Amino acid sequence: MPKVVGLEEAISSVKDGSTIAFGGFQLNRAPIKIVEELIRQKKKNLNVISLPNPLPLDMLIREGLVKSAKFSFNGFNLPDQFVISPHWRKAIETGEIEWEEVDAYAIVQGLRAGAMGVPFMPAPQLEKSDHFKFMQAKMIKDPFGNQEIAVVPTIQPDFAFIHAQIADQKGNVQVFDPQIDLLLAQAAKRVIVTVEEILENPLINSNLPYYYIKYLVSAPGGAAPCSCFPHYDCDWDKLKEYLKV
Amino acid sequence: MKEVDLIITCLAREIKEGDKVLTGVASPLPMLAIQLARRLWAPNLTYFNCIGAVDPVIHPPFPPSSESSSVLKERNSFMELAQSWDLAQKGMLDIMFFSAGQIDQSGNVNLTCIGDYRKPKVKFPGPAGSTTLRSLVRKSIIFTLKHNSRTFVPKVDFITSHATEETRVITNLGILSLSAASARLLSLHPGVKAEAVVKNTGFPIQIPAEVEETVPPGEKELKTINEIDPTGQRYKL
Repeated sequence: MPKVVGLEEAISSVKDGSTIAFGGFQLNRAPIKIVEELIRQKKKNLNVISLPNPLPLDMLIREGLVKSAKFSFNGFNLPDQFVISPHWRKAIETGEIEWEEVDAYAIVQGLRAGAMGVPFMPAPQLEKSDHFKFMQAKMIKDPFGNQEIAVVPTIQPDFAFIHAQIADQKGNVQVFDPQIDLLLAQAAKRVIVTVEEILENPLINSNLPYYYIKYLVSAPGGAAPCSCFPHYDCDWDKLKEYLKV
Repeated sequence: MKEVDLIITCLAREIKEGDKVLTGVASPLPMLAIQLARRLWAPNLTYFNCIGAVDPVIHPPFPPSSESSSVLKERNSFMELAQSWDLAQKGMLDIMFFSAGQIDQSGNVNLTCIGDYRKPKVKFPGPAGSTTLRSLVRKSIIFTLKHNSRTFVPKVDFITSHATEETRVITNLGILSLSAASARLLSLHPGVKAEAVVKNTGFPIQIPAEVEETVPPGEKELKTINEIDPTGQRYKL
């Protein structure tokens, strides 16, 4: 069963140099309270795997806590403009961090391999980009046929950080919009979850069950200024303030 | 008539009744086009929004972002991100729209950087899923509101997604068809001269002797776009 703890205790288990990944997608359910605590505790040399989830990575880069990052997309579709992640962009243009840009499918298939406990996974069509020359991927021969197929290595992050809507006392979690979170939880070695609310009554339809979770933290507003449907929408003013636009 | 309304209409016309359409990140114009097609001629299209909402009902005002959580409110089901590729691999996605930082004459697209990949002069936001999905969906449409010689270049600095056999590109000046064999102008938007396309395209482009004019959005289309986006969110993009 997960330990229900405060944010400080949960994040103190994260070692410098860990490989971490965030649940949520783009502006929705980014685990921002966790990111803020990583920053407060000055966790260093982090290796970040970012499915389109721009704010956590950008915040950690801004604080100089990122050693390397693997990502597919870093931008914000705001109400009146599109903004590229500012600190991420600067870090790349000035060579501050190690990085690997990949099609999102490479991360998805890597996580699938990680969840299954196998060393690699086919990810066909990845070769149709110049990224293929620079990324961790190879062409291999299909052992059952003659076709060459692109494969990517397994991804098993040390930590998955997820913000979800509700949990129960036992630590069962329900993610209303589990875009990538369940796969991430299956692939990661340890999972830390913050939720808007821990309910008195047991959940009857949890999609992220207690046995995946190491620490559970009650953190209302844990995704702000990103949204957490249906609890709150994005705080556009705060996001713009952060992005300086 | 505003340029954005014309482009939304052109994108929408690519969608046929019954098509399965997926929108990726930062895709407000394709989202508007899908709503338009659904209301006027494709009531049975299937729409997947990349935040997971399947067939979301989107009430006005139009959401502030194509990834806004308001899209999750009224939906038939939820699709996890990974399933996008599963559907596409099985031939179950008909159409997707992609934007571009640079496009070359055969249809290769750059969403990665200007300059050297390792030390870019300017970093673009990245591929998202466009490398793989572009080659997996039945029809991929490229669009840009910046038809100029910085976008349309002889050779892209980086190939983020490879050209398909034929690439249709919808721009603020017209509609182009790009392939390894030829780059052709298919139609010119009303009021645009062929010379403007030649001047703003950084590679040779074939102009037919009698260029077709893009059919502008009719009254019904404009009225519907206004109903979908009564506050004019689309003009701020």
